[in-house]
Amino acid sequence: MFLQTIVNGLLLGALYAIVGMGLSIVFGTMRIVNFAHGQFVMAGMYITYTLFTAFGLDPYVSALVSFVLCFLLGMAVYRVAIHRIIRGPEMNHILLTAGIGLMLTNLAQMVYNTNQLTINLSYSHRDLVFGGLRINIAYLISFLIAAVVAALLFWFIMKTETGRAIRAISQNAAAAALSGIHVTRVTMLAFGLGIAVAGVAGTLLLPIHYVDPSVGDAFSLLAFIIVVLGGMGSILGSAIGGLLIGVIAQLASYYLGQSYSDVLTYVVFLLVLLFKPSGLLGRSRV
Amino acid sequence: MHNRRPARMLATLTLAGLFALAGCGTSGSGASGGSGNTGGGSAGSGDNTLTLGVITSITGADSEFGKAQKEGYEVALDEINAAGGILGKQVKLVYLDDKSSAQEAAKDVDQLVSQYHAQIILGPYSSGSALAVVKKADTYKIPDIVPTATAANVTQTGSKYVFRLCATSDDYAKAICELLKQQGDAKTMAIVHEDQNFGTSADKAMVNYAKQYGFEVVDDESYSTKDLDYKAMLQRVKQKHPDVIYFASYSKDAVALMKQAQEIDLNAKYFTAAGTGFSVGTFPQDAGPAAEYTLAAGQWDPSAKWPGAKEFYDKVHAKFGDYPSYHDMEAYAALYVAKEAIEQAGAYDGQKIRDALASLQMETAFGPVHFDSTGQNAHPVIVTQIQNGKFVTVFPSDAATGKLLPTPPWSQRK
Repeated sequence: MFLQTIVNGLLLGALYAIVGMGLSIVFGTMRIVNFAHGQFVMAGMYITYTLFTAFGLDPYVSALVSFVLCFLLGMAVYRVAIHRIIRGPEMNHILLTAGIGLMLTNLAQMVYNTNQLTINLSYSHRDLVFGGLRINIAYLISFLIAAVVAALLFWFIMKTETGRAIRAISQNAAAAALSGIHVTRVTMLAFGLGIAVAGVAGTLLLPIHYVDPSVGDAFSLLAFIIVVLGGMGSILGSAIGGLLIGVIAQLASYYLGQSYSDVLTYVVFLLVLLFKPSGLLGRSRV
Repeated sequence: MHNRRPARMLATLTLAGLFALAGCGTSGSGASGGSGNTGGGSAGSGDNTLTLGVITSITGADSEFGKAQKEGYEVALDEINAAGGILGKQVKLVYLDDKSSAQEAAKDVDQLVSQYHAQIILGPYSSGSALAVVKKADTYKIPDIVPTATAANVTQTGSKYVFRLCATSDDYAKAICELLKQQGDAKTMAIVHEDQNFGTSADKAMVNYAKQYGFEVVDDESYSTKDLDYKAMLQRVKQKHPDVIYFASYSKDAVALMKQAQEIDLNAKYFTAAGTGFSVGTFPQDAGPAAEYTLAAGQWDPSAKWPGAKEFYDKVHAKFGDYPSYHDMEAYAALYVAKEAIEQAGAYDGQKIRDALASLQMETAFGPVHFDSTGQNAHPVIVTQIQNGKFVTVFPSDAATGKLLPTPPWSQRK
């Protein structure tokens, strides 16, 4: 049962990880305090829900649609709103993005009402059995997609020219501009990318969780915890942070009871910050 | 911008967290006129309409139940207006949405009193909201008819202005225990309940009655309806091998719990529930095969012996296309109770209506209504079982429309 709980935790954690990874680029790397992150996850969920109910499109196919639509949405939001306050204090980021989040929440409420919507997939409650270990098919697919997204993201940030530019801007925007990087364009791209990953996270969550307009708040908080736990600016750290929180939550639920899973998650979060304030894989910034 | 210290970052996050909390309560719409509400004004004074205020959950997690209630109110409203209204006035209902939140429900009372000069309140839906509304209505000294909230504490605030139509979580637990005693083959029980007012009240009631009836409670689990996954919790239940599982759940969680019970092969002789999510009309189709054989304590069924029960069922189905459950019926009956009380009071006046309610004795399609000194109506509880996607009343024997079927293990179901 211990092993089963760990496996379930890793499967759940992969979903947490992908929620966190999107924010890792936006907040961890670009230092935009995006408080609408959860609402973009919600947007991905609604996109997937709509495609499923209108065209019967399998959610794991619509992940790609979510990615593209949220990418465009993210870039537009950046260009229209966030770009204007990007050099301002963090308080402005919070106010602006919280406002964007509220707008998205209320927009969703206008279009979809506040009902909790779910989709029914033939395989969302089906298990594969490997020698006594049960693995839920929907979770397994989500896990694999999350792993691919994480790998691609890591490769993009570490190996490509644009990724290098993103890292350069995160270190010193002025110097990056001086060395010929188009700061506005690259920042917009990075923001779009982070939102796109949030959208994919939403898609992967829908087969196992309902969507309603208020679902985003919980994901925003979760994402910030994962990013800080994993270490600011480390995408790998966010992935590990997500997996860790998934495993802790499941272990707590199984051994102590469901209501302890949040308690233990926050205790571990505080302990990590206490002993390693820069997060698991964060560079020391002091 | 990169040389920030963690402490600064944390301060930012804390602020951000506060925003998240603030954000929770700010979405949603205000009043939604159900049947031509044009702003109400002073009800019962001069003009020929009487505006009554209803609080229910139009949006939010409990919206399925709010929708059911609204259907019940609307059918009653049509009938009452067709028959000449109340005190010779046509009735208008104004629906205030509590957004499935107790704070909002309390604010709705303020709005009904200040904007619509309400002298009586109908609703809300959930036990959490009901507790808030009852306390608030008491400060205004206007009566509140509680149609659906089952938590015991709703009538225990000491208010003289609360009148509850439905049976309580105690009655649910007792009915399930009676049925199990009659079956005779259950010894151990696990309780799985949501962690708000309804769930905790149902849990407390069952712990108490299980002891009285000699069932051993081997596991008692609580969860939040916002949780992503219940499998770890259900695994805990599985390890204890209970004969009976008693759920106290709202709608989406009830569906997820049964589907995940099937997924992890959690078997029990009896899957039982304190009505609610297991009784709502959409449950059999949403949970599909996983809903089969589940037993739910409930308050009413279209097969009930009281005149008007079947007619109500047909009317709701014809008007809205839905299959009404007891949530619809309780709202329907609540409006009739309000009508009777206002007419007996002879005036739209809170104190007089309260006194009329306290001594009220009437027959409704929901059964006879009479409130005791705490404002509680003695209403009989039934137990239904889902058989081939339909609710069949299996308990008590004088109300039963079918026989209780034994629950096969998941592996032996088709």
